[in-house]
Amino acid sequence: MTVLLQRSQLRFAIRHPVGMAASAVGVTVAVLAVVTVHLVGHSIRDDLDDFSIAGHTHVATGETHGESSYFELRRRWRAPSGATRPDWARSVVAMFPVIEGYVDIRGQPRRIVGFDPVAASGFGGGALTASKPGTDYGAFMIDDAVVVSSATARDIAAGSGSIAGIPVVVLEAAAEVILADLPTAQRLLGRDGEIDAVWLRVADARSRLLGWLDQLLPGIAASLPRYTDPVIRGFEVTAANRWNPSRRFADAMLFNLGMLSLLCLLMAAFIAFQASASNAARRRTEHDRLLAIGASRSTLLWVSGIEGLAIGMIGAVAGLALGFVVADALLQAALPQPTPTTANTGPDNKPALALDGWVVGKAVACGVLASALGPLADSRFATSARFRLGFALVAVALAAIGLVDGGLGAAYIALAAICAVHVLYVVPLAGYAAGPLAAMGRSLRTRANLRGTAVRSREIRLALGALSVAAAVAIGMGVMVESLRRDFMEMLDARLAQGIYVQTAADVSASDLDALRAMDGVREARRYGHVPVRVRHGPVDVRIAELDAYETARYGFDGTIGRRGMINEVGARLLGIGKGDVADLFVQGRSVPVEVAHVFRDFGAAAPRVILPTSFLTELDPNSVTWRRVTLRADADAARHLTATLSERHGADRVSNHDDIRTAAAAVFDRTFVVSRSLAAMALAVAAIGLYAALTSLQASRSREFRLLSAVGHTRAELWRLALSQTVVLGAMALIAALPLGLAIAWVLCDFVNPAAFGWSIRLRVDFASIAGPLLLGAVAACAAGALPAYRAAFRGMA
Amino acid sequence: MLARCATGTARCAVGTAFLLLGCTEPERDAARSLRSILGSADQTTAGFARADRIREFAFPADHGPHPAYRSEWWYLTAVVSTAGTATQPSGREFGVQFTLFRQGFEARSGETLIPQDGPEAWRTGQGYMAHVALSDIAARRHLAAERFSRGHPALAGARADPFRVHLDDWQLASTGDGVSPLRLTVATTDFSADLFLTATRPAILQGESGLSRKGPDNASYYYSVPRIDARGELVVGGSSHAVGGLAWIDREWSTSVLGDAYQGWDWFALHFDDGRDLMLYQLRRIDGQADAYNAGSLGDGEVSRTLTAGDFSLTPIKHWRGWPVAWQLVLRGDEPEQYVIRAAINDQVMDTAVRYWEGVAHLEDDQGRRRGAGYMELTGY
Repeated sequence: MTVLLQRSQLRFAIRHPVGMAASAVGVTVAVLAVVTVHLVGHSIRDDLDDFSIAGHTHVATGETHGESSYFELRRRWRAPSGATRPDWARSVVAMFPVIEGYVDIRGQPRRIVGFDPVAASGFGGGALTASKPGTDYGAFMIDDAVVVSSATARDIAAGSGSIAGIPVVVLEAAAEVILADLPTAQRLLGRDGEIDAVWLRVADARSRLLGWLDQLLPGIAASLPRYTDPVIRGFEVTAANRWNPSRRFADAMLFNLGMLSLLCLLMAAFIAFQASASNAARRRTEHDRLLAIGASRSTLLWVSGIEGLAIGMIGAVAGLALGFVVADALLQAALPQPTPTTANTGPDNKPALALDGWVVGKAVACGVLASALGPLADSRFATSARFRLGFALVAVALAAIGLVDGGLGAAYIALAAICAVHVLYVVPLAGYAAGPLAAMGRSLRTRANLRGTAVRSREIRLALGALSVAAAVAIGMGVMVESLRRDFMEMLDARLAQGIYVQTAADVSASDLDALRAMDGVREARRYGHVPVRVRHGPVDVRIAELDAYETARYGFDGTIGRRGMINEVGARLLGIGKGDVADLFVQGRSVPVEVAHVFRDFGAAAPRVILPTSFLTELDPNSVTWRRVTLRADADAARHLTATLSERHGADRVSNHDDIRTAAAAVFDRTFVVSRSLAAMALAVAAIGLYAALTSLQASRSREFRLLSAVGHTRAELWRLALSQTVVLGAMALIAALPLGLAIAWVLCDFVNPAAFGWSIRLRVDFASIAGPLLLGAVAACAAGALPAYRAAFRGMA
Repeated sequence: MLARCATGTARCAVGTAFLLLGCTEPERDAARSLRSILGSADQTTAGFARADRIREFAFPADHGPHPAYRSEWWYLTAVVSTAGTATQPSGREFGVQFTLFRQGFEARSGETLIPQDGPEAWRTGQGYMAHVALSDIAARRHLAAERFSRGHPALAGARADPFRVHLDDWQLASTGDGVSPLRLTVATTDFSADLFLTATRPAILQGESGLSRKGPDNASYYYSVPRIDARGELVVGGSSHAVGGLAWIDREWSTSVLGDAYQGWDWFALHFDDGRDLMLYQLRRIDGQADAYNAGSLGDGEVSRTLTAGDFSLTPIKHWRGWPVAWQLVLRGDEPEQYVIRAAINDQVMDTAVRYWEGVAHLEDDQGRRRGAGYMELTGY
């Protein structure tokens, strides 16, 4: 019997090479999706995690800014167990003092963070051995040394190697902010003996659990509440990602990626299941024969399991290899193009793809388990009406709670719930619509076909639902991205009217400004000041400008600013303020209240920014204001000429034509969404392959019907068209259903996710291309998926 | 999104050594081989003084720090027990370890280190790592804790007179005019120790008048206070125990202790019940050969004899998870002696940034009778 079974297996595989290959390809694509998402997600996550300096998770801000507050907090943390040891001490694994601020480097305010690296991380990470090239721990701890990016290093070198007039040792690294030892930063900021906060690294059971979850779905845990926030008497403790703009931004990015990962994973699981189930369906006749001649069910199960295992392994290995290729290509596509200021940072900054145990494990698990155990997933419970109704009610409730909550996680829960309801009810409803349509059919064949479509839409509702959701996600993302793009370009148009932007090495005086105004072609010249200011939690980028009607219009404000200021959306959201509210700025320990006249859009800004009129100068200590930014208005021809002239005077890297800035910004925008778009397209492709598998088994089940139709005189070509038309109708139903879901997704992304994630509001603007593209792609995918099964049903099924 | 987003998605934005510290598991990831810190083929040894000649020891100054040298430690180990009872005549036995490691980030001239006040207080150029451990032999448990800090008057440091070494509130400090008597106070979340320590024998200089050679090109300055009366209180598992026993202090400083040919050492400090004090170490070569620089000392308070490689042999006779927890010791001489050094409990692994084994060991004769106790240290495994 065993020999017979083996022969049967081999014979079947030889006779159905396309079907077997389809199963293997299905599993391969599923694994490919999982591996790609894992690699890209972890690569991006690792990069973005760097935003967390020394892995801090919380910021503790005391009543005072003296170092003694840190010593006191550390003493309480180190207290032995017992009555004196506070509860929060258990979950804090490290704490270190931090001072933050902005230093001026060739006219550009740069954020500097000073901290105690030994308190943060002991002697680890090459601390004592200086094993990392370019970082000299001894110098960092002893001299006035700063860790900076290559571009900043060049700027410092051009400024005679000093910051704030103090010579510094420059340690070059891929640093976004300037890092320094605590006393060095205190000195550069002129704040000896002061700290701003104590940063904490917290690790508790919840964070460990979410760490595991993050391995399964990279980024998914980023914006979830990862820790039980410590409650410390006398200190205000906030999660690092709440205030730290970079961290918060990174978390939001990661979470968005995590949700796309989840979508791909679900699609992958679905396709693996469909491939496996289709394979099992094709074998049903053969298995019936084997049972008739004495094979036991358990033997057949073993044989099927082994075959599934083999297909799964092939799919896992192929998917793993392809996943690396696709992930590498995606990351390459997202890499910024070298610019004069980033040219030497390219190779070092290419994210590394690592073959770790997690990615191999996930590939094998996805490939083998899905293909070997796929058929078992089609449980009766999951298809029962009562279960579907209960699930849908829970989903609707979650969606309502999510949208009312307004948080990022909640918004995504709402999205997931909407998608679930869509798959369970909306797509089948669209299928049922084919029933009434059948009555309008002109021929019996058409009516029968449409009626059959209504029935069959239930049989393959999961496949149709997946295609519909994938198309909807593509529509939603496309509409959101296009809406953001339009808003962004409008913002650029308002801010970057024809002209030139110059960063000067020294302060621009009023007479310098007059000299610039006197240049040929210059219609207007303005200078902008920068002043180091803090709010309660950290430093704020504060600009000083002549806020007349022209200037305020650049920020979308139409009115008289008076003695009020403007704040960007990120700042307003972080501080929890809006128009008419008062923001307390701290300048050298003094509070300067500023009424908010306008909250302006500032796409791309991760940090709070405040713009004040020059009337605030007296309260802001005029001596601390640097005037090193100038914009010149000029006609296009004059602008080119002026750019060349000013480049010779100030250096090419200090002079930018607004048109060039706009072009570069648009390019960065498009590149940024390459990964997101690719993942959405991948989900669509995976769904199409799943649909193919579903249609294969569906059309195979119509062979008897086709024999009958053939017997009454229909040609094979007619039968093929008949089968194909059913596929087209099914696909069309799914895609029509995708349209409202896609718009709903776009609405949630624009009105909930983006404000929660980045603090930016986006006006939803529906455009034809963003909708037509995914629908067309989905239609092509559905037709391609249905053509071959229809052909086989019409031609081979007759054999 | 936009520029920052592109930066975030595609580019390693803030990837310095310092940023990466602690991004995953905290100190565990930072675990380093012993040789990476104490080795010689390292650029961080540049500028530091080297222990390459015999010097005059001067106390109490030498009890304090030697910042001209890169590495230094104050090592206290004690084997103590509660008073005996009818059911447990010898009392309940505990081991206590306190170690303060100093590591210089940059060579400092001079041999003393006086912390400055004001902004310079942060710039001592020193890092400190403290380990404390308690072995509860009866309960067969070993508890350990670790702390790091930079040198700073309010955080961590060492001084000779009055003697005090500390990291936060873990400290070993003299309570009188001289270095002895001392008081050790350490408290962790799992246990605390408050021991009063009185030296009963003078310090002995190890090696050649305190120059302890660890290879052809490496050496340290090394002295010990071998027999110290220890009394005080231990609190563990919510119970307080009044204890008494013997302690040992080792002091060592150098710039490169371990050469490239070595992977670690096995070290023993034992109190014989007959009043003798024995210190032995053997360097483990990577090639597995016996090392000519193995050394030790054997004294009774009156006379101290320096032991060289030929004066003793140490052979592991039992391993536990790769750690040699029992040794055959042969002291050669006119009247050879043979003992077994056996870990009081096997699991006394210091699962700290530098992973090593350090714990209570018993000295037994060839009949299995206890002849003494002390501490065993196994590194580089």
